[in-house]
Amino acid sequence: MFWSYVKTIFRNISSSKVYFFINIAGLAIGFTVFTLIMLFVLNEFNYDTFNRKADRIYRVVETQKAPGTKAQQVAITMGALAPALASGFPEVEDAARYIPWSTVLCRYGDRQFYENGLSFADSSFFQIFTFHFIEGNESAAFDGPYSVVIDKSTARKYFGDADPIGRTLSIQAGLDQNTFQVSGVIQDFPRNSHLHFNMIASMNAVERHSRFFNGWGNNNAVTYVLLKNGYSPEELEKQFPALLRANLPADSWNALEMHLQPLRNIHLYSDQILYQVNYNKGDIDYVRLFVLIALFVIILACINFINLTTARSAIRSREVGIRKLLGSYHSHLVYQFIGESIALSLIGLLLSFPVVEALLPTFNSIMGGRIIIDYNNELSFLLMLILVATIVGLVAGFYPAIYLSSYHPVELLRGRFSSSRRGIILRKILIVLQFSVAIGLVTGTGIVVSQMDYVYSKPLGFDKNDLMYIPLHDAESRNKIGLLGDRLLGNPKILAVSAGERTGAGRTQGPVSVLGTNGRSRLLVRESYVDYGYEKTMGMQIVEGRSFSRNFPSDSASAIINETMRKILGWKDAIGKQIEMDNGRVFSVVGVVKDFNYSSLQHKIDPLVIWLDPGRCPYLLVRVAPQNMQSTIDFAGKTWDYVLPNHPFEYGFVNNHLDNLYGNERQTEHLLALFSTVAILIACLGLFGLTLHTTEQRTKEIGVRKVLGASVGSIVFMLSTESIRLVIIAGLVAWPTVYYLMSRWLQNFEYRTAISAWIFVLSGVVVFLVAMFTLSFQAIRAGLTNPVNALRYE
Amino acid sequence: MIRIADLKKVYRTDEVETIAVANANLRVDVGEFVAIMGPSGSGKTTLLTILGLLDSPTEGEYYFLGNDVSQYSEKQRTALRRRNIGFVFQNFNLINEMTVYENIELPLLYMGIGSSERKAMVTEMLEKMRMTTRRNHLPQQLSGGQQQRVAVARAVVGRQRLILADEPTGNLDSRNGDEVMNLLAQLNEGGATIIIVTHSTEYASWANRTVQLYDGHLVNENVTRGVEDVLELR
Ligand SMILES: Nc1ncnc2c1ncn2[C@@H]1O[C@H](COP(=O)(O)OP(=O)(O)OP(=O)(O)O)[C@@H](O)[C@H]1O
Ligand SMILES: [Mg+2]
Repeated sequence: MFWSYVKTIFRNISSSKVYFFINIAGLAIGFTVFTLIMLFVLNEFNYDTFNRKADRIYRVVETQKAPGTKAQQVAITMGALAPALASGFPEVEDAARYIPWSTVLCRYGDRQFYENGLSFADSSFFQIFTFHFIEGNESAAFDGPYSVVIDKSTARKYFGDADPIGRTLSIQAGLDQNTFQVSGVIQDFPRNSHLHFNMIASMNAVERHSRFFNGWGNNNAVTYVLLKNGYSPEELEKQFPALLRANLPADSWNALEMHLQPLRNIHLYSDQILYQVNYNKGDIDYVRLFVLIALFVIILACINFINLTTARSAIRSREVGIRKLLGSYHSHLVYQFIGESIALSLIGLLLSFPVVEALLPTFNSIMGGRIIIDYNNELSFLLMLILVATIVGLVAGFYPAIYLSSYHPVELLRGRFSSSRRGIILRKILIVLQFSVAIGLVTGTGIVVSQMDYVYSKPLGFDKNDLMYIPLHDAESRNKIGLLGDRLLGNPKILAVSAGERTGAGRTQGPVSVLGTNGRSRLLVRESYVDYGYEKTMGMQIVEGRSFSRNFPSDSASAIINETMRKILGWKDAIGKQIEMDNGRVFSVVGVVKDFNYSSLQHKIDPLVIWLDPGRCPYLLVRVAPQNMQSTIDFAGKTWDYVLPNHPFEYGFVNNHLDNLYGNERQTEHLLALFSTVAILIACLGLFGLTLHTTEQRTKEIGVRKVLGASVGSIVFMLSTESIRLVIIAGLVAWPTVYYLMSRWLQNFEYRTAISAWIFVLSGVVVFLVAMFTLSFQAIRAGLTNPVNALRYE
Repeated sequence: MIRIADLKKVYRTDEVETIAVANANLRVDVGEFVAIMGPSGSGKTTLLTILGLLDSPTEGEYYFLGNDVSQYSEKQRTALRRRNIGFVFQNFNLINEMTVYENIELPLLYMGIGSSERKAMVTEMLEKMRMTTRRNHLPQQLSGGQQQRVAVARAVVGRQRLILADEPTGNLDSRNGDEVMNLLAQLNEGGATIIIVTHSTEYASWANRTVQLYDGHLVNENVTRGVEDVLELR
C-alpha cells in the first residue's frame, strides 16, 4: 500500500514538474533564510554561556540620578566596590574588578605592536570566568604585581615558538613600571563573549600607580560578582543602599542605585546602559525582529504550498475519489497527504543545506562576522531544523490534506472535477497576506534606507569629510603635537592641524559646578580636551566670543561651552561666566560653540565643555584636501615616522568612524533589503504558479473568447485584474502596520526623518510591477496562443 | 441480495430541495442482471450511489445482504463496499498515474490481500480481459474500449458480488459497447449480480429485467415485504 502510494506521488511530481519545483524552491528558500537567522539568533543567545559558572555571575550596574541630566545607567562602578563585596558579604563567593586599558605600545626585543586588548583585573577574575590555561594556572597567575597573562596568538606574535613564561614584555601603559612578566598563557578567549582581551595584567600594577582605582569617589572598573550557590541576587541587592551610605558622601549616595545584571543578559539586554564594557553588544529587539522575519519567510513558503496544492487539487481529486471508492478510509488519506507534505518539506530542508553553506560567509560578514558555528551543538541544531521542517510540513499540509481527502466518491459518478473553485476565498486571503508581508518589508526597508541616508548626510555641526585622525597613545606623542603640526602644514594639501577628540567629545562625562540664573548648580557635562585651532580644523562654528588662542596665555584657565549648555543654564551672555571643577579649579567661559553632534544621531546633544589641554588630546586631527588623498596620507606617515620613530603610524578618517557607529542599523538595512527580496521572490513564485494554473484551466475559455474576437490585450487584462486587486488590498493591509512599526523604530533616533508618503507609494509600485511582470509572462503567452490549438484539447 | 423499501433521497441546496429518489421499492436477487432506465435527471445515478453504499438515503430502508445499512456510518459502508461492490463508470475513472496492472491491483490492496495472491489474481484478470500485453501501459495510452475493460477488471478482480455500472457504454462506439456488455453478461453468468444504468433499450434488453425511473419514482416494481435473503456478509 505504502509503495503504491509513493509511486503515485512520484508520478504526480513528474506530471507537474513546474508546480513541484515552485513548492520545493519556496520551501528551500524559506528554510535557507530560517537556518541563517537561527544560526545568528542562537549565537546571540549563546554569548558568555561557555563560562561554567555563568548562572552565578553578575555585573554591577549603577543608576545615576544626577541633576541636570536624565537618570542614566552605567556598568562602570567604583574601584572599591569589588573588594568590599568580596570581603564583607557571605552571599558573595568572589568579586573582581576589570579595567580595559586604552591602546598601548607593547614591545619584546625588536617586535613592537599597538595592543588594544590590554585589560587589568584582580586575580579572582580567573576564578569567576572560565579560562583554559596552556601554561601557568588560575591561582598563581598574579603572584607578582607586574604579571601579565596573554593568549596563545599574542604569545606567538611576540615570542614565536619560545616559551613565554617568565619573559618580560615592555608595555607602555603609563604606569610606574613598563616591564611586565608573562605568568601564564591561555587559549584565546571565545569570541562570543562580551569581554574581549588578549592580555590581562594584574590590577596590582594599576593600584601601585594611583589610589584613584581603589576609592569610592570614581567609577573606573567593571565589577563582576560570583554569588555562592543558592543565593539570589535580590538578597545582595537589598544590602547595596546601606553599603553606599556607609562609603559615600550624602549628596552622592542618595543619587545612586545599584543592581546586579546576570551575565547571560549582558550581551542582549544592555541597550539602556550608557557606559559599559560590552564587546559586540547585541540587541534583543533586533533578535526579535529577525526571528519575526524568519517566521514570515517560512509562512510565505507554506502559503505557496497551500495555495498551489489546493488550486491543483482537481488534478488529484479523481485519485482520491477512486481510492475512497475502492475502500480507503478518509482518515488514511488525510495521513497520507500530510505525510506527503512533510516529506516535501524535508526535501526542501535538505536542498537548503548547500545553499546555507554557500551563503553563510556572506551572511556572516553582514552580521559583523559574529556567527561562530559551535560544532558541539550541531546535532541538536540539525534536529531542531528537522523538527521545524516537520512542523512546517504538518501545518502547510494540514488544510490541503483535509481539503483533498474530502472529495466524495459520488463525484466520480457525476464527473465533476473542476471544483478548483472551492477554497478560492482562502487562496485570495493567503495571497493578500503574502503580498502584505512583501510590501511591508519593502516599505520598511525604504524607511530604514531613508533614515540612514538622513543620518549620513545630516550636517553635524562640524565637517566630518576629509578629516584624518592619528591616535596619540602616550605622553611622548602628545608632546610632539606642535612639532607634528608645523611639519604637516608644510604640505599645501594639508589645510589645518589640531588635536582633540575625533567627533568633538569623548565618551566621558564629568560633574561641574556653575552659577546659572537659577543659582548654583551641579551639572554633568561632556568633556572635550583640545589643542589650539581645534574648532577651525573641525569646521565648527563659534557663535559667541572666541576660540582658544596663543595670544591669551590665561587660556589654560578658559573654557568653551556649547549652545545646549548655555540654554540649560539660561545664560544670556555666557562670556566671563565661571565653571568650577570638583577639584576646585575655576575656568571662565571665553566662547560658545554652535551645537554639534559628537555621537550617533540616536543621542541628543548634552551640555559640553571644551578645555585647552594638549596633554589630554587623544587624536591628532588633520584636515586634508580631497584631491590626491593617498599621497597626503603617505606624507603624514613619513612625517610621523620622522618625528616619532619609535611609534608605529596609525590613522583613520572621521567619516568612516562615524559610519561605524551605525553598525546595527546598517546590518538591519542590509538584511531587510535581503529579506524583502526573498519575500518578493517567494510570493512571486507562488503567483507565477497560480497564474500558470489558472491559464491552464482557462485555456478553453481563452480560446473561445479569441474565436469570438477578443484582443490579446483584453485577455491579458482579464487574467491579471484579479491579482492586481489582491496586490492593492495587500498594500492597504501592510501600510498601517509598517507605519506603526517603523515609527517605533525611528524612536531610537533622537534625530529622524519624517516618514514620507512616497516611500509607501514607491514600495507598493515596486512590488506591484514585479507581480505584474510575473503575471504578464503567463497572461501574454496565453493571449498569444492560437485559439485553434486551445480548442483542440477537448 | 438487495432490497430497498420506501427509500427517499433529498438533495438540499441553498434555495432548492430536490427529491432525487422518492418512495422507491426494489428487490434484486443474487445472480440477477437488472437494467435501470429513465430520462435524464430522473434519479438513476442517485439510486446507484445509494445501492453502491457511496451515499446514505434520506429516508427508508436498505437491506444489503440481509443487513439494514441505511444508518451505517461512512466507515462501515466503506468496509462493506470494499469487499462486495465493484463499480464501472461512463468515463472509466482509472488513475492516470498508474499502469493498467496497478489500477487493477488497487482494490486488492485495500482488501488487504497478500502480495503473491494479489499477483495471481491480477494476472488471471489480465488474461481474462486480454490485456496482458498492455499491463504496463498508462490509461492514456489505451483506447476507450480498452480502458473500460480495465475498469471492469478492477470492478471484479476482488470477486465482488455486486457490479454497479452507470452508463458504461456511454463513451464508447457500438463495437466497444457491445464488447463491454458481453463482458458484463459473462460475469453475470459466472454468478455476479449486475445492476446497470443505460439509455439504450437495446442494451437494456440484455438484462433479465428492466426497471423504469420517472422523476424519482420507480415504476412497475413490486416487492414482497418481510422476506430477507439469508446470506452471510463478507
Ligand atoms: N449533489 C446534488 N445536489 C443537488 N441536487 C442534485 C445532486 N445530485 C443530483 N441532484 C439532482 O437530483 C436529480 C437526479 O439526478 P441524477 O444524477 O440521479 O439523475 P440521472 O437520472 O442520473 O440523470 P442523467 O441521465 O442525466 O445522468 C437531478 O434533478 C439532479 O439535478
Ligand atoms: Mg446519471
